Amino acid sequence: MRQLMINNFEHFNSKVYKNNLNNKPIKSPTFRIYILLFTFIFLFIAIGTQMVLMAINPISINDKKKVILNDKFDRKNILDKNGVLLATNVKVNSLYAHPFEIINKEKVLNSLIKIFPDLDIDTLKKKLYGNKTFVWLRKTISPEQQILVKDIGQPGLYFGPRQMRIYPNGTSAAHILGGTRYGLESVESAEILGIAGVELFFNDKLSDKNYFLEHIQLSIDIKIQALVEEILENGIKLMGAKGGSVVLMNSKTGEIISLASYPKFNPNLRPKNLFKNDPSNSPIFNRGVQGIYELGSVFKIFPVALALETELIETDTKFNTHNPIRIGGRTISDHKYFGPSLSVEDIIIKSSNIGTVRITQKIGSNNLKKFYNDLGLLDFTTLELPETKGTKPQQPKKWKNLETATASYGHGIAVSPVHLATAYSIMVNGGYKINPTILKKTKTNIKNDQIISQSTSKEIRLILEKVVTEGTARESNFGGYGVGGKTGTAEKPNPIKGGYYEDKVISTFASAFPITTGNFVLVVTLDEPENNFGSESYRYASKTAVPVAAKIISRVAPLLDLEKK
Amino acid sequence: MRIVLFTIFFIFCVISTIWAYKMNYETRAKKKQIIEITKKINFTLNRIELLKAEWGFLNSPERLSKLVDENFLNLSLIPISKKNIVYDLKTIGNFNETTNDQ
Repeated sequence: MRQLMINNFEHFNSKVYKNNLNNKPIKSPTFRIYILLFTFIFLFIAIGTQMVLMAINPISINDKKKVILNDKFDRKNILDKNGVLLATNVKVNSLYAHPFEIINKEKVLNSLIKIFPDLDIDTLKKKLYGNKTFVWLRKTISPEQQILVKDIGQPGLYFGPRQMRIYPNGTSAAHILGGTRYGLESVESAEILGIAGVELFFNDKLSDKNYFLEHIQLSIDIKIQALVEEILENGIKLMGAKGGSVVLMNSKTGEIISLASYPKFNPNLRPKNLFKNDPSNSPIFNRGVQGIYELGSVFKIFPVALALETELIETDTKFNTHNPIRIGGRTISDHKYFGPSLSVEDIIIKSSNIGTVRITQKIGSNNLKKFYNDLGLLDFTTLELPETKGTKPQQPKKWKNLETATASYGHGIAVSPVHLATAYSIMVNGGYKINPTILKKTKTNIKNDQIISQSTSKEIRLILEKVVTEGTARESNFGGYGVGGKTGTAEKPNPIKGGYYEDKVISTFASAFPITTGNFVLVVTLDEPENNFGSESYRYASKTAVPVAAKIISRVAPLLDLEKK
Repeated sequence: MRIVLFTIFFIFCVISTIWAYKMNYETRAKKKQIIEITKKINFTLNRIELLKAEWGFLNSPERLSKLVDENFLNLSLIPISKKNIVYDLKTIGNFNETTNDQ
């Protein structure tokens, strides 16, 4: 029975098996294995390739939290000629709050007032008790203040990273550097924008992360700049002047080594322009660049140079200075009688208006105008400061006889001290054109147009030297350096009544040293100075601007590598 | 023969799986490390920048001249003048004469 059952089962099973065989033939088992095999091979190659790629190039990893190297270069540094830092960024924090998260608002209010005494309590109250969900409390706070704020121990106060622009040298070179402000602000960062000076002029380059330069290097030498500013400030205080400026220029390249203006300011706490009536009274006014003045007798050297260049005169040609000249209804006279006649040299040395006008009459209006234009006295300077764009020199509308005559001794034509320094550089550097620049020059000896010849330039240097040794500037001690220069005292125009003030002058000394080569040009301008040290009070440049210039040259010249030849 | 091939392939599979697994975690660890290092570099760079600024502030000409004035009794530093500069030793003889003149 049992056997029968097994047989039946077997029979049944074999029947099913046979049926299956007939209906669905089993595919070759190797075929399935191959499918499996290829799937695995494909997957492993895919994963393996990805691994290798990841190993080779770790940057291609997708990373949600991106940490970028060198995020410090938000704004590039500004360096001086020798690589000293003039402007840089430091990381600080900003403080903001979510007022609705703060539990004890009174405690926060009192503590914040204690930490930041300059915060206004009423505006702070409005911010904290107002309906806003987000308020800025301070744009920059120091690390110490950050710790104190954390110590309040209240939620709802947050810190955001900030870059702060700082000027380590304080007031030195402030007018050149200008200043910055914050542009677009967010919790993570804030944009820094230049608002004046180099910061504004090179704003794009300074903030462009793709720009190849790591920093901008100026031609300014900060130690000389600070020294010049100090001497200028002392000089202005001694002379009771309203203000003043100094331009020190390398006459061979046009690089500005020092550009000082007083009153000064601190670019770290740049003041707002509060003086709307007279911008020149504001400390942020750059007198050397923005101040346009009638500079007076310093101009006399230009018509003389042109006349020498065109061989109309020799240095010893005599001119009649006996009588004042009448031109166009005006009388031009000297401040004292110089005798019946003066040689060309003496006209400059003694600063005779009559003599200069007589020379100019030989030259003619058009030639003088063209010459002034060649010297760059009638147009904007090329200086890389935004302030130069707004200051075009003033010149007579029509160059008639009278205007030409006054322009020859620096009246009726107003230029900035930088213009004057540029023109004097051309006078003494061998006569070729230079463009004033604030950037350190990498290429030197670029051939430029000759304005006056080498020999005329040499003659001019000799005349300028005599002004210092025996002329109007002879009383000052220049520290043993060969100096040549020309003084100028010009009455200030009266803007209210018209005409000129009698007791307010701009006194100028334009000089070059060492005069044998004329490598450096220094222009000192003082606004309303008065020298009261003697029995009388003097306003002439020889008693005001010249002593300041003498002090500057005797202190600065040893720092300029003059005698290294 | 086929068995041997399959066995070898199976062993290869196992080994490469282990390798892939380990590599995955190693990579993640390296990634974290890179972030840490980058943060450290940034911190150091910022610190260098801060120190440079501080150095600039400490060496600012205004501050130095103030210090020179304050410590004049100890240091007795005076401004450099033409007399202090000698470029050619042969001129020392003349140099003494000129200083006497002044």
